Amino acid sequence: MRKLFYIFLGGFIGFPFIGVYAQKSIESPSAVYKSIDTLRVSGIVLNAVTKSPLVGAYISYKDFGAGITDSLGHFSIAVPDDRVSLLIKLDGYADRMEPLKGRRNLEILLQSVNMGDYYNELASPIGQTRRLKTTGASENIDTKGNWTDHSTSVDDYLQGRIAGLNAIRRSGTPGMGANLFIRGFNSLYASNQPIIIVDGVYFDNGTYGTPLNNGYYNNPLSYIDIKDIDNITVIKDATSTYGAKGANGAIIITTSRAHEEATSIDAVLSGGTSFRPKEIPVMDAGDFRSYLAEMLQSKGLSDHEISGLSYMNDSLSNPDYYNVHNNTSWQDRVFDNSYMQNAYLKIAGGDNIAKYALTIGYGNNKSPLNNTGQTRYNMRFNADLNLTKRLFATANVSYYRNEQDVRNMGIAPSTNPIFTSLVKAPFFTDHVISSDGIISPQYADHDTLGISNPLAIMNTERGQNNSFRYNGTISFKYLLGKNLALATTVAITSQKIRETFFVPERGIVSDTLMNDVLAYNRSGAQVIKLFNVFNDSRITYNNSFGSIHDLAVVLGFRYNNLKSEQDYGLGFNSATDQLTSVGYGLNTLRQIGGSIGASNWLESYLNVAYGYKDKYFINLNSSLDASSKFGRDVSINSLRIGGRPFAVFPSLGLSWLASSENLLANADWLSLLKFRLSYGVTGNDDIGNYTARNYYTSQNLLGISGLVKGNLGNESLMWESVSKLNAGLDLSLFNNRLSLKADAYHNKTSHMIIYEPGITISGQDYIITNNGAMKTNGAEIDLNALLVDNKKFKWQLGLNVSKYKSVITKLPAGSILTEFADGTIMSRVGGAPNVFYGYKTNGVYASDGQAASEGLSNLNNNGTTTAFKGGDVRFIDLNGDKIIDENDRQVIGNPNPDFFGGINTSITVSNWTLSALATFMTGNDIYNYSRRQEESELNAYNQTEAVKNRWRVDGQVTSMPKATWGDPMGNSRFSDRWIEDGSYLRLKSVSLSYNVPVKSNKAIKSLNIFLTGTNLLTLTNYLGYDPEFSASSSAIGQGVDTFLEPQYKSIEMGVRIGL
Amino acid sequence: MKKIIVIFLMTVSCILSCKKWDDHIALDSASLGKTIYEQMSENSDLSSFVSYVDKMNLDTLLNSSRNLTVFAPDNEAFANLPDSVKSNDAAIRRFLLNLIALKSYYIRDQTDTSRILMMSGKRVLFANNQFGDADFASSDNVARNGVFHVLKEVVLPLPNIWEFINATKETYKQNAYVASLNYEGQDISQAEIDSIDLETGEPVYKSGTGIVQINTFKQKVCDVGNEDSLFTYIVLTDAAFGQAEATLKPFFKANSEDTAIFNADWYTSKDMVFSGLYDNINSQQTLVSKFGVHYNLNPSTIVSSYKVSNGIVYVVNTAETSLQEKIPVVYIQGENPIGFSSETESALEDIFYRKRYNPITKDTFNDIYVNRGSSGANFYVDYSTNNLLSTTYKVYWVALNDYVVSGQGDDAYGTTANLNQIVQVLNNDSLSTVLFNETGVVEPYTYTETYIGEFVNDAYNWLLSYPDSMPDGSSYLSNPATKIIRLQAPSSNSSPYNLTLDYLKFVPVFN
Repeated sequence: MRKLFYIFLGGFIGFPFIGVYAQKSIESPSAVYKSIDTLRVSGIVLNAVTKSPLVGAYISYKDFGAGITDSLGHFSIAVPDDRVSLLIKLDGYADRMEPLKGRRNLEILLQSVNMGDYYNELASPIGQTRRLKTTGASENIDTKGNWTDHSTSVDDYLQGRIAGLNAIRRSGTPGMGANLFIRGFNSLYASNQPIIIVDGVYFDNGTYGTPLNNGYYNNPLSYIDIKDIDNITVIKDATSTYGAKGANGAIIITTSRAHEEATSIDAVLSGGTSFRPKEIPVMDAGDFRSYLAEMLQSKGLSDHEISGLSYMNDSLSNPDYYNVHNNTSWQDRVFDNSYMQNAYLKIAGGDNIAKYALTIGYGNNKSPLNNTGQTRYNMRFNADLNLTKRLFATANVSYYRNEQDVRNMGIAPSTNPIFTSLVKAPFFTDHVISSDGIISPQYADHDTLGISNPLAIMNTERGQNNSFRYNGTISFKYLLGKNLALATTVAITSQKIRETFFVPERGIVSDTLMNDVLAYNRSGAQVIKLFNVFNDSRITYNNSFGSIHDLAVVLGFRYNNLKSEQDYGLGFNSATDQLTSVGYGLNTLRQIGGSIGASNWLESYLNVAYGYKDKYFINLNSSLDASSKFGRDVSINSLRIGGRPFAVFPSLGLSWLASSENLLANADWLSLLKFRLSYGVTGNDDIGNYTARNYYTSQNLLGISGLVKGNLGNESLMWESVSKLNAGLDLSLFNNRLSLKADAYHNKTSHMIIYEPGITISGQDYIITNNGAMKTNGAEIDLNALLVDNKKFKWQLGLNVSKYKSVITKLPAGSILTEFADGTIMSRVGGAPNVFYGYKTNGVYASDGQAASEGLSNLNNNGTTTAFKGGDVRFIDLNGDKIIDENDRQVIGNPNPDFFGGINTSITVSNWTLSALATFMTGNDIYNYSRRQEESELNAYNQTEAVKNRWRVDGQVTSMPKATWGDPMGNSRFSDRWIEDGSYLRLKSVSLSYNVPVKSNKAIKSLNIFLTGTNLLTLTNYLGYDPEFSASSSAIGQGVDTFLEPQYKSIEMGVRIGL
Repeated sequence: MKKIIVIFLMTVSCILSCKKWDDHIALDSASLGKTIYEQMSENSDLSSFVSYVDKMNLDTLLNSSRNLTVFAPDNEAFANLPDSVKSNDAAIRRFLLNLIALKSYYIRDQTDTSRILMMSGKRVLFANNQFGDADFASSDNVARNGVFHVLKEVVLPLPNIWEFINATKETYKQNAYVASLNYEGQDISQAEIDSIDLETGEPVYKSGTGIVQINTFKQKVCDVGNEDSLFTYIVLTDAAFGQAEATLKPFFKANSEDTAIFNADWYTSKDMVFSGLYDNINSQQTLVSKFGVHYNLNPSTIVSSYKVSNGIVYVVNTAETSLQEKIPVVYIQGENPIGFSSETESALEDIFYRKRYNPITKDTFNDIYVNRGSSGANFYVDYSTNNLLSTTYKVYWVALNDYVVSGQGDDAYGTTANLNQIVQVLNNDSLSTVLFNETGVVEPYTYTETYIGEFVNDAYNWLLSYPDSMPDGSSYLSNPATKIIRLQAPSSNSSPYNLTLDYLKFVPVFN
């Protein structure tokens, strides 16, 4: 409590430091400019396509003057200066800011298609603003309700839509979402995910505790129904206003509110099919049996031992004959086409006192992985209240419930259904078969080769994730004067995740516990709780001086208190497979554990936005952050208040709307030209709640529990500091029919968190310090064109391409090697932060003679060497010592893409609209751990059909090495054999919708029928189900294919009814 | 319309996504996708082989996914297939199965001595680019289910030594004798378990179960029917066999003449099997039998030789073994007694099984020391042996008489005085019949052999070819030919009555 007090105190004391500056900037235009002359500007507003005059368009210049076009499209308006810009608004047309550039008579062509978004309003940290006036790199998506989209979460939805945002979907499991990397990587060990703000409230996007079900990800963003979202703003550059949480950019989400008082009701019903993935060609029973026999021969089994195996005995009198003479397609047993149903209802309306928007959603998305899928229920209620003339309030309540059936994914050899279905011998059966060939309903047990029965995993194993998230927000805004307002927002978020699983004994390979006890059946239960209290209080000041100076100042503070708790229990060996809860497990084997976390974040912030003549804009942001995570002795980049360090994060943005200069008055082709420059410092506070403190952990020694020092507390531990420099250009031509946004940036991370190896005497394996540094350079382009613009036929095409290059610039102790999925991932100074580090190969020795002539040997584990022979892989001897050992490893792949982005298009022909989004990634390497299991030729796993080409005979030229039990020569080691080009181009979504013409006086206001296909086409050379997955949210672990559920194709048909 | 578009897109995506795998899994050659049988059927040189395979219904096997190796003689080679095989279905089958192995063997798998197991149960030499004696017309033809090699000659299955012995028992007396050694015995792998012996933990088998015919030559000497090992077997011509029998008969004096002859035959034939393949006998070569008896195989004595599947058989006209080796020295190890005159606790406490160091030979040895002191008068230790043949033996012992003081204050044991010890040989049937009775003196710290006396054994009344035990469970380890050797303390005037023995040695005397 005392700590809290100090932090609060610090926050308030901190104000004067900025306050002094703030007051200065407020008071600086001491002589208020009064316009003496008013000019009258007149003009005509026309439809850009038909050139017909538009009636009722609203033309305004701030609150200086306004006008409405008459029946001939003419208007006249008073302005203070002929160098300002007019705002033109008309329902059904895109907003437009038109600079006068000295002109007194205008012809304005309004587009019905929203091109380039330059004139849109977007949610910025300081409130709603026109994109035109921003100085940083921010993008905005007006989601228009996403009626036809099938994305299961926002992060998934954002993929391919924002230049510079690399959204990599974690897996095909519904709701898993995507890892969002805005402009590459800024950190090795801390989060690389942006801060999420929903309706002005910090949305905690962290995961607290590992899911019990392997490969699952508790994705908080899935708790927002995509149809509830009105608007998304992505801020890619300096977001100092979010201080210690702003290092990775920000995503600001605005949920649906009532925009008009008339009641509107929208209902969407849709249903569809998800398609099972295309099978990976593994060997059939015959080919596999020959291969297995060869494997067993190389293992040293005698003829009698091999013949004694029941699957090698072809006699019908073999009592096991029918159990071991099948040709089972195991992938068939695991995947099946499945269905989905979604329903959504939105009611909005109100009066001049209160407006509300109520939404209710239901979704049932079965995955093609049998018996798994997601069911969700959600509701949201947003209300806007005008309490008095000066007091306004908004209240938002949302509740989301998720029920999901899952199975272990990723590296879980005994329980991952996909893995087992790929490697299980096809001659086995899924159900027990009697010696007479009669099939029993009983599932077959795991087989003698040590592989579980995938059907038992699918049908008798249980894995469930039930969770809910509740958010309640209330905000008040009080107008102190015409220009001055006080506002506060208070929000609580409560989230609870309840996970359970049960792995039965029958059909599934037993696990061995740490004390060498066999775990026949296994159960587990876990609860993860999260509770956030958030407050944002601020004073805002908005004014225009002399009608050409715009000033907006926000001074405020944010506070967030987080409490998280994780409790789990694991049970083993319950009496029968029918007793599935943890309590039934043997008392002696039960494991319980958990964790508790708490953190406080307090930030005081100041934002000043100044605009001159709607042409020159300056944005100044700064924040002063305190966090319970920071060490107490931090002295760099901080102020000390109340004995605690407060991090200082300043940023400055400039922009110049060159196209509004009079010089370009006659350049009709040029609609807009704007230059942007911003620089700022942001922070990353994802350094662990207690890393800076000394703490103790429990340890069991010979059955006695005690406490041991858990770390070496580092009271100098500070946030990672990321400075960002961004230069941008916005260009729009031919009445906005062609637009271009280009940005180049340089991000520099200093004080980057590093796990340094601890010195032996410390008793710690590693010590967490701020001794790393990294930089990222990059650029991105967003092109948008309205190719065809006719009355009945419109064709819009957009493309965004991004590139980044992250380079580590400082590491305290050489390169960092991380083992992940039997591969090595390396980060070293001068290189990208997460490259694959292994052996390079050059085919397979065709003969013993060829191998002997090259004279390479393999270094064995016991220090001896063995010469390579025919059929072994030709590894590259990097250091020329004729011995292949770990010194011959080199960089063999880089999971970072050369380019990524998206292509979107929309074609409208009368009432038909076809829109499509394709996403792509090029030049990224993938470590195909999955194929490594299917082509290693070292055990009894089934292999892909490529293994039929394995080397067998001296002189055989092939790329597939020989099959040897245990692979003593390391032919399957982590090498470029498993690194593949992960480039892909995917038609992520395509939808066709038809607006059924309805008469406006009928009961139905609007009727829209749509058909949406997701992931229908993927062009890639990647040898796996799908090239897109993200096994971990950190930089390390990207691009590793570990048997996660693949992305699947789906087709959904729906109808939207407006009442 | 919409559906058509969707279906079109799906088809395109399938075609595109399948292709990458098609490239990856495309077979390097079409033959990798064909079975051995399919490939052979397409090969006109192998039509004869294929027709025989069809006839014997082995096509299913050659099409199965068992990962086989097939050595297929080409059509030209089939011309040399003997009619005796052609006309006999069983022989054809045996011939074919002798060309098929249930593992894949490539040319690179050859070693100089690799013998691969064929489906006939026999092993055939696959070395030096030959299968048996046949050269390859082509080799390493990889198929989906294994590999096949084409032979230039037919390779017929050879008999093994056991089959040879049985086939020639009319020709050679030695083989007739060996083949006749058939007894009923219990095969524990087929017998029922009755109980578990509480002391040893070994299973006890029900008598009368698992009864099989056993040949005690195969059981006690060498399983010459085993295809997995290689043997060299020497058959004496009848004349040589008779001569060997006559030489050995005096050592097996018995109540029955037949017993003497059969034991002589056993002693002749037991040293005629040698482990390993000794072919190419160009000069005299010394072979050692399982029982340590040397045989000087002289090429001039070889009458004929036969290649068999598990080795080689020589017929020789002279037995080249030394009698001295055949009639061995018999040792009785002191530390292996079968009983004592008293097995009371106090008596057993005084018996030490020791490990001592011999400063002369620089070796450690195990012995027994009975520290009965003054209470040990007449105390004795019994041993037994079946190995004393009917001849004269000189008897020696090595016995260490020493005095040991413990450094830890425990009681000292032993003595510094001379010990008097009696050695007796008793008949197993009646212990009262003393065949040998001599007293010797053990002086302290003697590590060398001491001569005790001369023992004449006048009978060996047991058939060596008998099995060790009978199906009813009775054991023949103790039989009428067994002798009990007794080491005894004197009855008086010789205190301390301690006994000590490293070993007793019976050295046969040849005239």
